[in-house]
Amino acid sequence: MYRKKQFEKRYLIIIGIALVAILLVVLSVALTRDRNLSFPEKIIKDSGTFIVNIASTPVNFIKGKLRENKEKNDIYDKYKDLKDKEDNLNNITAENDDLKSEIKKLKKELELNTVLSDKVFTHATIINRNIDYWYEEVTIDKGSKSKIKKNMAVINSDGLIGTVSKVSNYYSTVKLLANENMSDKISVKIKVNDDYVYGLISSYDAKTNSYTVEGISENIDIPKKADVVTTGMGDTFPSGLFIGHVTKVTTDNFDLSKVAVVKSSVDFDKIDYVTVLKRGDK
Amino acid sequence: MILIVLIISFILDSIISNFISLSSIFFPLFTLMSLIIIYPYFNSYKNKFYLTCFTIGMLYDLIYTDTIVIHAFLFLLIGFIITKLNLVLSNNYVNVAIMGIISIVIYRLIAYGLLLITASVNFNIMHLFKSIYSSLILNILYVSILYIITDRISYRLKIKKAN
Repeated sequence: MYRKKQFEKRYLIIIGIALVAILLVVLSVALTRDRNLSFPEKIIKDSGTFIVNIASTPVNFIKGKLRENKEKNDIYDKYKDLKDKEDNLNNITAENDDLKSEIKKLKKELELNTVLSDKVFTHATIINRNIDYWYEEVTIDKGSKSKIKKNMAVINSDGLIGTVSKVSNYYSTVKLLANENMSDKISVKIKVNDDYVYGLISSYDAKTNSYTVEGISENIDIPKKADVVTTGMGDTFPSGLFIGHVTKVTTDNFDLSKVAVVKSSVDFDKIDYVTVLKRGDK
Repeated sequence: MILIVLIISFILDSIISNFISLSSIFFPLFTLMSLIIIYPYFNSYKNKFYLTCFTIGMLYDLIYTDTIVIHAFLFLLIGFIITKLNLVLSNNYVNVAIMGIISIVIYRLIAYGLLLITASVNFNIMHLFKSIYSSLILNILYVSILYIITDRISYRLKIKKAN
């Protein structure tokens, strides 16, 4: 009798441990951020997001009207700003055309099909933001039907904001760079005079909306307010996507390389419209 | 009543997320809060309540967070805790607020624990505290107001509800 009870107890413990192990495996798969959505998941996400999107249309309409009103109030300041820019516009346009034709010629000469800065654009609107507290993510209204693919770079008018992390047929999830638990390092270059120095974005600080760029060569002096853009190295980001300006430069713990604090050009709280970029194939 | 509260809370989670900043202290968890409100309307049908918790959690997973069963299990667990809390706390708006606080703290603690065990990301402990206090104000306000509204409607329409 006693033996039987002990056997049953042991049996229950083994089943319990096995269940916990299975649960942990299931949860770890479910929490893996870079997995692809399965077919049923895509269907439910698409139809659910569509319904939620329709239900939030009146609220979005009011929000749009309020923004429009605010923009109307700021219109004179914008006009003054644009007037100042207009004087330089002709010079910039001419320079841009010149550079474009030069790139074209050089590509032809070198028989290159792609250069790191080639990109194709798709515009999208943000539907909801950061519902899961732990990862800073937003949902956009374009999916695989609009040729959006995983890991594509996402920008807005101010600069780089993140990458596409999940794709369903009509909607996608974008993982923002404003993530204090950044797992991927991003290769960037800092403009110093007419040259660039290279480094890696290693972390983000939400309080100051700044990135930390590590691995910068010790010998070069980096001025404050220097522009920081992506290098185009790696599979994800095309080159030349604006990240922000340098605000502070220090050295690392071993005095071997410099560390720059880069203020992000993007206000992550005010993102409504985004552009998804993919590198040009041709 | 149950369905209306669930649908409104579920959609409001998405709408409100568009109005708050990333570092806001008004983080919505309305769907989770709606579980506290709907429980008395199930009267003694606990199994139906658990099934509702699991289903709404699953929808939350698939539509909002791109995970599979995390919220389904978390909502089920919170549903279980709500049933136990209802045994010791009577149903009024102060107790509903207390249940809201307990549910948020437990939900955040377990979610944080699961991420620490299973995800390959190191979350700072301060992140956990921030996640808790940033969810309290708005959701406690929501659950209290929702309780008052649903209580009046159920009284007028004579919808049966456990106390």
